[in-house]
Amino acid sequence: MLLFIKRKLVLMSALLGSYLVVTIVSPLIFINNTESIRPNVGQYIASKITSFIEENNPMIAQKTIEQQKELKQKAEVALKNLETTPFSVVTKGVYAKSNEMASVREYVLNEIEWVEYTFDVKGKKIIIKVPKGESAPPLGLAEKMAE
Amino acid sequence: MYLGPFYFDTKEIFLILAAILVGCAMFFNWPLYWFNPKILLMLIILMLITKGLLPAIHNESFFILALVTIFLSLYLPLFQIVLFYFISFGLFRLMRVI
Repeated sequence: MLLFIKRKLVLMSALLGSYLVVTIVSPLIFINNTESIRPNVGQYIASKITSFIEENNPMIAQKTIEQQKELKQKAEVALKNLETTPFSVVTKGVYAKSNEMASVREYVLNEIEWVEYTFDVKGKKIIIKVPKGESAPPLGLAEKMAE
Repeated sequence: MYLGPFYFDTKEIFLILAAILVGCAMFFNWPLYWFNPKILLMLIILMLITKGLLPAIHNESFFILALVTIFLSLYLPLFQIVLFYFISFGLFRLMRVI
């Protein structure tokens, strides 16, 4: 009887172990559930482990929260200092102002002059609007939008 | 049952019947709720191959592994299921279950 229970426990632990390997370890080694192995598999696993430690170590997590608070305060002070500075025109519809600490850009969509580019991807018409003076969007972008 | 020099036990015959049924379901587009017939057929072929390499004494462990694998095919993609099947087999062998 004891041997029977032991055998069943071993069987269950083997199944559970392989389930954990498949769901946790295999995405680290293989790309998107295909048979192709990540070219930078060592680096990828190392980065995942370090990020996991950083996220779960209370000391480091506390430190990052404090740093974020400090950064937020600095940004608020910099933006307050900018409030009195007037906007200068970059181009039609785009305004900007800046000091040593921060910069603010404002886009007024109604004022911007747009240039329309029409792509024909597999019989689908894709229209991309780009501000005047900017370079034409790449075909790859239209193909991505057509998917 | 002997087919030429090969002996088939009832489980193997049922597996082959299941493969024929799943093949028919794929061919005639019969709806198989939740289960993907392509994945099922793939699993049955893998099971037939591994069953052929396994002595009949280990039928019970094999049965549990087959059931769990078929159940997991509801939740995991095909690659992970195949990995699960082979890793479990390896672990069974390592832990001397089979």
